[in-house]
Amino acid sequence: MEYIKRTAILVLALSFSLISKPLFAQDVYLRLTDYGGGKTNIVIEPFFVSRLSDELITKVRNIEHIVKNDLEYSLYFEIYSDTIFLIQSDSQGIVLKGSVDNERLSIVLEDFLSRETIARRDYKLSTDIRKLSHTISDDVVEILTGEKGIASTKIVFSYKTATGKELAMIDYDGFTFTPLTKNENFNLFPAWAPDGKRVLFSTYLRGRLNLYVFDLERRVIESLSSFQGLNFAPCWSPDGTKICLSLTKDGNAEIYLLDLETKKLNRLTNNRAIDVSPAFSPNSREIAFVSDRSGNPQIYVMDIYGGNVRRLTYHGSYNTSPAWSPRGDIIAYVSREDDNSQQIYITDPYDFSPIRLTYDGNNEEPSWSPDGLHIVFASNRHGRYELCTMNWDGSRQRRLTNSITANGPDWSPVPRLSIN
Amino acid sequence: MRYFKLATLLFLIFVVFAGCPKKQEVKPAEEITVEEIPYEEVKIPEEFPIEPERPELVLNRIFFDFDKSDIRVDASETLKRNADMLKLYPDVKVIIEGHCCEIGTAEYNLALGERRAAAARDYLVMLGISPDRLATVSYGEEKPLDPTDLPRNRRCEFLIR
Repeated sequence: MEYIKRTAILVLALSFSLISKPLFAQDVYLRLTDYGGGKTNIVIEPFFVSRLSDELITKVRNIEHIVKNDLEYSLYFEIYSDTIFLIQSDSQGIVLKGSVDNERLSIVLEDFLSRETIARRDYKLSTDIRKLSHTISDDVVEILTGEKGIASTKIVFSYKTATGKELAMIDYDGFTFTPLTKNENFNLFPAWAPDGKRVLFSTYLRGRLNLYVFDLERRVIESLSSFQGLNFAPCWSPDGTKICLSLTKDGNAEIYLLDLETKKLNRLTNNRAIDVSPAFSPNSREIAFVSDRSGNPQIYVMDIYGGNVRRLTYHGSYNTSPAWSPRGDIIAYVSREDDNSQQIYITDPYDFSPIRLTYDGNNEEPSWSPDGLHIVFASNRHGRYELCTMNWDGSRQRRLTNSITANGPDWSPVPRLSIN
Repeated sequence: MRYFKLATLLFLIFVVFAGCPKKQEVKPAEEITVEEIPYEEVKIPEEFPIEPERPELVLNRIFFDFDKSDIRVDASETLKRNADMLKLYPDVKVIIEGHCCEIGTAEYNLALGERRAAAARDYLVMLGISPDRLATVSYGEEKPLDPTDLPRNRRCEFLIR
């Protein structure tokens, strides 16, 4: 009986994953104009606490606060603190209720008009309230929208030290600074693996710039590519099977594709120009990259065999740092202005239509959130280079770090299992 | 008095002759011989090998235009002097470091720095320096000479290995 039950669950789970797969692939194809509109009203009522201790109340208020920020950040919701606002405007919405009993936190989502319970989730009131709050937020987003939330994602980056640049990781909202390397060297170009458990990066540890992979769970560094010359600017294909990188082993910087299964290295570009900064399309079939084959750096797109090369950018004389949105329909990149400042633009990958997103200081190195609604980037608008985030359309630009000089951010995928 | 002296001498000789075999039996002689050469006898060779008259080894950095790796006229003069220096020091090996200013992306600048280092290397090879003596590395925009003076960061450094 138990066996049959288990098999049934397995079959159910399998069929679900088969059904859900196309939904997460590029078949979901939101257009630019569809991103902003249609926010759901959500009322976050103060959580009910049965045992009145100051410590517990502070903790619960913090959780409420973090969840509220997460849900607001997600862009799916209009947040209210009381149902009175829904009554006044005669609108529909969701009520989020929380109650704390001993070490258990229960979250209930209720439809405001029908009073029907949409979902109920129980959580253990752990000591890491930021992690717990982000988990709650992601669950709420997934229950109400079907999309994966990004509240548990992290951002990896390089930061300046007296001896070079080290790698570190922070939560997507700027909290929990976690140093990763400490080798007193230059550690550059961190890039997440699609499993969210490993980070590619380049460092001069052996005197030359070689490519390594940092395993976050085992806390070890493994060498991946150490050809003559530079091994740098890596990116992992979203399907996890390949790594695209730049090598100078054949004289100048060319783009190569390393197949992780066959261990075969394929050269994708072949000319006397600089070819760098590969960025995969979300379906892992195309690669945007930077080349100065026209005389100055411009963004091009090719297929993963190095064919069908086409130039994408025709505006400005210095365009770099392509980042392909996980939704597939936008490429963010950096363009140098006439005043020598560098600004972030977005364009359709197939029809060049640049829209400028940033204006203050220099703004560089865009990287997309896994939901394709936010961009993290490096900016010196506050003096030194620090990390900032903004919405996909350039709205809500805010500072993510302060007190460090940081650059080269890469936004993690949605964690499948916990990352520390 | 004389007899007394003689007697003492004879007595001493007797003591020595009588004592010596005994001592040798107990302890084998461990003679430490220190050859002392009188100071005056140490000869300073008159024909001391004379170092050829050569200037101190200094290799100067060269500069580039923005987003360029062409050797400028002023840089070619510097490279000629560097090449002459390297010919005077045939055993010296050099690492050529390519650097860029902070404008542009770190990735592109790394490739540009590599290209600048390669351009400097090729120029030195053209001037007769063996490529075996020249290694290149690029640091892109990571190691600025002066963060406030962008043109000064577009450069190649020549480090003696």
